[in-house]
Amino acid sequence: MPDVTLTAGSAAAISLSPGDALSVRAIVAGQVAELVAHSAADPRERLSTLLTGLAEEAHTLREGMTLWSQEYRPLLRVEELTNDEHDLALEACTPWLGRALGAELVGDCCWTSFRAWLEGEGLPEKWVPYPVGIFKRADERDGRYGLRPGSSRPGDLVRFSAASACTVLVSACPLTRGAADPAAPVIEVTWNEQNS
Amino acid sequence: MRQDVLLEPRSYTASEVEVGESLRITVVDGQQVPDIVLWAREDAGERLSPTASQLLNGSHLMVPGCVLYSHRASGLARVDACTAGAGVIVGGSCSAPLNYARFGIPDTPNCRSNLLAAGAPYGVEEADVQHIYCPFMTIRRDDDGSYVIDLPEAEPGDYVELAALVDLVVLTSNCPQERTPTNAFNPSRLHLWVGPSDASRPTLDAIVAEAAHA
Ligand SMILES: [Zn+2]
Ligand SMILES: [Zn+2]
Repeated sequence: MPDVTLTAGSAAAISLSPGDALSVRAIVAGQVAELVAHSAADPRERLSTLLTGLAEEAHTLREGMTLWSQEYRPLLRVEELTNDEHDLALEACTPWLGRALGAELVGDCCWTSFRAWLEGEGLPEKWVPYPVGIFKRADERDGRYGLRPGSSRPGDLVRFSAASACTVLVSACPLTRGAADPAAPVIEVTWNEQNS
Repeated sequence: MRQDVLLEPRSYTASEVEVGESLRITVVDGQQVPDIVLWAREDAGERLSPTASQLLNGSHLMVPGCVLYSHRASGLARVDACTAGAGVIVGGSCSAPLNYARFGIPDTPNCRSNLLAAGAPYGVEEADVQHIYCPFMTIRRDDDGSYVIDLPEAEPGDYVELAALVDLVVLTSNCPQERTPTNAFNPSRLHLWVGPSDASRPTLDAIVAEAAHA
């Protein structure tokens, strides 16, 4: 079963066939992972958190939920989760946003990693999707809306299955980090081929 | 006055708003939501970022005084007024696939198609019309994880006004959604005005009188 561990500010791209499983697991508490998915047939068709949220009437991930593309074709399903606090509204973190928020960033922002993959597909940055913010939390406290530490406890995971052929990108977010040490592994991504 | 246009139900328009100018959208008949896309005219990469706008203002909703920020965290426009409801800012609009997902009806009128048509002279593609400011719209995120659209609060005469911080291109869709509470199940008219920030604005009476003569 292949797996990869990510440090904050690094990302992995995994090609999935229908039925394949992919798990994203937090190694440390408070770490956020951002996940996007592009259809293998045309990378401009991508997981839409807006369509998914409205079609599934949910603002977080739920077990059994389908994650749809902007054209309402199924890309992934949520098979299992140990934590139900995730985000389906925010954009991927960018260096500009990180700097404006005064954050100490390490490695690449999630947006930068997603854009780099798209460039390899010959597509410009505007096609970077809104990610599923795994363990990501933002809310209003003391009258101010802001990002909070990730909801993850060590070992918390979300397991997806592929509903159609797609490439999934997972980035260990450098903006909402669970470890002070930039060399510490913070997210583990595991995948396997269920149907083969 | 640079633009003064009545937006019939389900229609759309494109506007250019320069520094020193404002854009006002007025609710004519009541309970109607516009879907707005904007970017810096000189650099389409400086496009509206809902997330940067929320996090840099420290506000989930774009209330008066909030700045609409770009993807690169620079200010594009300031919300000078929004006389009804909240200022929702989200990553997408109603679309034919979304309406099919929710209602099982194909090819319905929708904001995505409207915004693509409004932006055709600028060569926009689907990815260019996914960052949306929806004044007057009401969305609830319930504690049980559900995501619910409610009736908008806007009454005839309510308006939203943006001041340009850089020269802007603005696309506006008069949301055609008729199967959710977004527009109270009854798409109706909006009025859009662009002009110098210090100019007098048309009143609702003048807008209605002008519409009657059109
Ligand atoms: Zn991130
Ligand atoms: Zn709409």
